[in-house]
Amino acid sequence: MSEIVMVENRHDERIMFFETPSFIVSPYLFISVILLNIGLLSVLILWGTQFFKRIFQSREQARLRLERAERAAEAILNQAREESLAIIGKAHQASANILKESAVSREGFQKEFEKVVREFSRGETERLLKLSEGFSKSYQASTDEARKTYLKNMDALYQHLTDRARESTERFEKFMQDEVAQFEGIAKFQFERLQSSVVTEVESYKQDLIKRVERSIFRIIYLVSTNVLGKTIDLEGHRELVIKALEEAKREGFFE
Amino acid sequence: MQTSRDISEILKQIRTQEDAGAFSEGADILAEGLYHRDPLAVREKLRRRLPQRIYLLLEEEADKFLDRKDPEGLRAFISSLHKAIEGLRALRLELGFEPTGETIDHISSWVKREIGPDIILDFGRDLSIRAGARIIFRGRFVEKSLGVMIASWIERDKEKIKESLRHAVTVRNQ
Repeated sequence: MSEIVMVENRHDERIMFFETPSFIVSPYLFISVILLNIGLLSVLILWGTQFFKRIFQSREQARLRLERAERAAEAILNQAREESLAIIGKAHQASANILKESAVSREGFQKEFEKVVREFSRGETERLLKLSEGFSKSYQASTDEARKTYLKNMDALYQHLTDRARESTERFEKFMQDEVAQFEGIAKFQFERLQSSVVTEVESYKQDLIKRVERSIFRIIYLVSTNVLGKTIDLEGHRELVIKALEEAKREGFFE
Repeated sequence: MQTSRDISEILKQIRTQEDAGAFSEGADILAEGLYHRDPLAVREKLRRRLPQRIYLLLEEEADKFLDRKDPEGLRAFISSLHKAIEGLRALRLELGFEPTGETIDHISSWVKREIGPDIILDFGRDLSIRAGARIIFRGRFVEKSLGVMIASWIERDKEKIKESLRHAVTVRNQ
């Protein structure tokens, strides 16, 4: 056991260290301990040696037992192999025999089967041929009938459609002729009316223009005459015109 | 009757509306003179207020009563003159020129001779008439101006004028 000792140096720094116990340093005790340890170690070594020796022995015995078992097993296997080989050989022989027999029977069966099939096929073919011939005849007959009926119906339909088309065309043609005639009549009437209206308008416009021109001419004559005469008439002429106006008014009975 | 004859002579001299107004004013002055002691003052007033022609006529007629110192006769003359003036009928003539006195005399003479002595003229001015006259009498009027005369001439001879125009156009186009 050690103790912790604290010492202060000249610089007043504290130093810590362990102090060895007194009994450790005792030589007798130390030697005793060493001897004890050696003894214990020796015992341990001996025990260990015995232990490992036993282990090695057990392993050897086990190996030997295993070898024996393997040899026994190998012997059993060899015997079994031999027996099996013998069995296989027998089986092979038997199978070869069976195969040989079966090949013979297969050839016969095949021939017989082919024969039967051939017979059946021929019979069926003949029957089908007969059936097909009958069916073909029947079908041909029905087809001919159907074709005739179809052609007849088609002829009738074609004739009907042709008649209808012709009637429709004739009706449409007549309708169009009527419409065209009616339209032509209306157009002619409208055109004549328009023409008459235009002629009347043109004539009216022409007459109006002529009247306007005449009015303009007369207006010019009037203005020129009044201006020229008004300026050229002397006092005596004015006086005579007033007297003439009065005479005319009197003649018209204005003063009565 | 003296007064009627004098009045008829005076009426012949009343040519226009202005003359009638002047005669009416002169009659009023004479009526004032009935109560005036100085006949010269009456004459002076007549001379100053009336046109010379009318003054001379009135003075001549008035002298007949003034000189004889016949106020009743003068009063009857004035009354007759007023009545005669009121009975005058106006004929309005609208002219395109200003008539001179000679023209007025000429027209008035014709009117009094052809229509009636009681007609006086009322002149108006309308330059659009140019020549001739627009005549208005008793609420009616008739236009006998140069324009109307030419228009009636055009209307009457329209076809001749048109033919002349066509001929002129044809000749020009050739």
